[in-house]
Amino acid sequence: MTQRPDLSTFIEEQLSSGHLLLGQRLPPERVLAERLGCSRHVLRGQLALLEQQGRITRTVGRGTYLSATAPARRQTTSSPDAVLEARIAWEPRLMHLVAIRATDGDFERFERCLAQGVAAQTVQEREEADMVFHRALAAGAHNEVVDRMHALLEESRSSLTWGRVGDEIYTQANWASCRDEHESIADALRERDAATASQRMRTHLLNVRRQFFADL
Amino acid sequence: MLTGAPSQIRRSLDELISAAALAADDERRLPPERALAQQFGCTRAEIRSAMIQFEEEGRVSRHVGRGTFAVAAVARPEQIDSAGEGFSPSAVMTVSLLFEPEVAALAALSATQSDIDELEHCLARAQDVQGSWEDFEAWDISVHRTVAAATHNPEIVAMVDILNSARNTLGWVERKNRGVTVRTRAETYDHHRDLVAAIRGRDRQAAAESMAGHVRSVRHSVLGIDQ
Repeated sequence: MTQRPDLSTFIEEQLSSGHLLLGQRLPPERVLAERLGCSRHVLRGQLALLEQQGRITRTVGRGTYLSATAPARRQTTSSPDAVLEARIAWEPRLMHLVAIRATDGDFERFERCLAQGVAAQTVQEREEADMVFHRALAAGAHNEVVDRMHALLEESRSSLTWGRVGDEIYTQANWASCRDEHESIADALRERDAATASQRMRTHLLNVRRQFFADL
Repeated sequence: MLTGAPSQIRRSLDELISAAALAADDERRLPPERALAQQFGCTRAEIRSAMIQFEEEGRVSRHVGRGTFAVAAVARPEQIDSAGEGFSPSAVMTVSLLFEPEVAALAALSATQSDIDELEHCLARAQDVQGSWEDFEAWDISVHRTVAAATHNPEIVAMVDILNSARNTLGWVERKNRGVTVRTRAETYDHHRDLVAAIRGRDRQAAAESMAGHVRSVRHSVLGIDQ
C-alpha cells in the first residue's frame, strides 16, 4: 500500500503542479478526506494545525482558503543565509523601480530613516533602524506586489533565530559601514540613478553576507 | 426549487467535480449522465441542467461524443480570496520582470540533477496540455514553481508563489483582451525549453535572458505594450 500524503504535503504538491494557488479555496472536506485516504476527523485535526500556523484561513459558510501569504514551510526550513540570498536576488533589482517611482515624500522618509540609524545605540535599535530603512525603500516602489514581497521577507527576518550572526551585523564597526552604504544608496536614488543604486545595494548586501563568512 | 432536491444534487455534483478537477489530466472525465442520475437518485434532465450551470461557471467542459470533463482546478479570479485581488496586472508584470530572471539565474547554479530531471519532466508534460487554457496555465505555473524550487531557497519559493497566485488572473485578463494577444502556446513552450536548457547547461545569463524573454512576451500579451 502506498503511503497517502498528509494535508501539508498534498498542498505543497498541488502548489507545485499549478493546480492550487495561494489565496485559493481548498476543495470541500469530504473531497480532501477521500483524496488523502483519511477520515474527516483526522482531516479536521490537520486543518486545525494548518490554521494555527496561518497557512489556511477558515470562514464559516465560505469554506477554507489557502492563505494569500502562505508561510508554506518557510518558518521551519529557512535560515539567515536563505533570507540574505533571497534579498540579494531581489533588492538590487528593486532599486531600478524605486529610482523611477520614488516621490519627494519618499526621499524625505529615507532621510528620517537615516537619521534614526545615526541615533541608534543598541543592537535592537540598529536592527530596527535597518529594517525601517529597507522598508522605506520598498515602499518607494509604490507597487502592491512589492509590498507583499517585502512583508514576506521582513516576516522571515523577524521570525528566524539569528543568534550571534545577528549581533555581528550590528557591532559598532559593522553598523558604521552599513550606515554609510545606506546613505550612498539613498544618494543614488535621489539622483534617480538606477544602475548605481542597484549596484550599491548589491555591494551592501554582499558585504553583510561576507560577514557571515568572516572567520573563514 | 420547492423540494430543495436540486440544490442537494448540485452539492453532490460540486464535490464530485472538485475531486475530479484535482485529478491527473487524463482522469478528469465525469461519469455519464445516466450513471450520475442513478447514483444521486434523480432524473437525467436534472443532472443535465445542473451540468449546464457548472459549464457556465467554467467548472466543467462538455464535448459532444466525448463526455463531460472537470476543468483543471487552477484558480479562477473570482475564487482567489485575497492574493490576486489586491494586485493589478501591471504591478505583477513589473515585479515578475524584476525578480524572475534573477531566480532563473540562481537556479542555474543551485539546481541538482533531480531538479533538472523534474524540469525536463515538466517540459515533457506540455504535450499533454493541448486542451484547455486552464490546463495550459497550470502547466506554465508549474514551470515557474519548479524553477523556484530549484534554488532550494524557501524564501524565493514563497516569493514566486506570490507571483503565481496572480498568474492565472493574468491569463484571464489576457484572454479577455484577445485583440492584443500575440503570445502563442508555442512561443511560451519555446521560452521554457530554452530556460530549461540554460539551467541544464549551468548558464546563469542565458537562464536569466530566457526567463526575461518569456516575461516580456507575457507582459506584451497582457498589457499590450512593448518595452
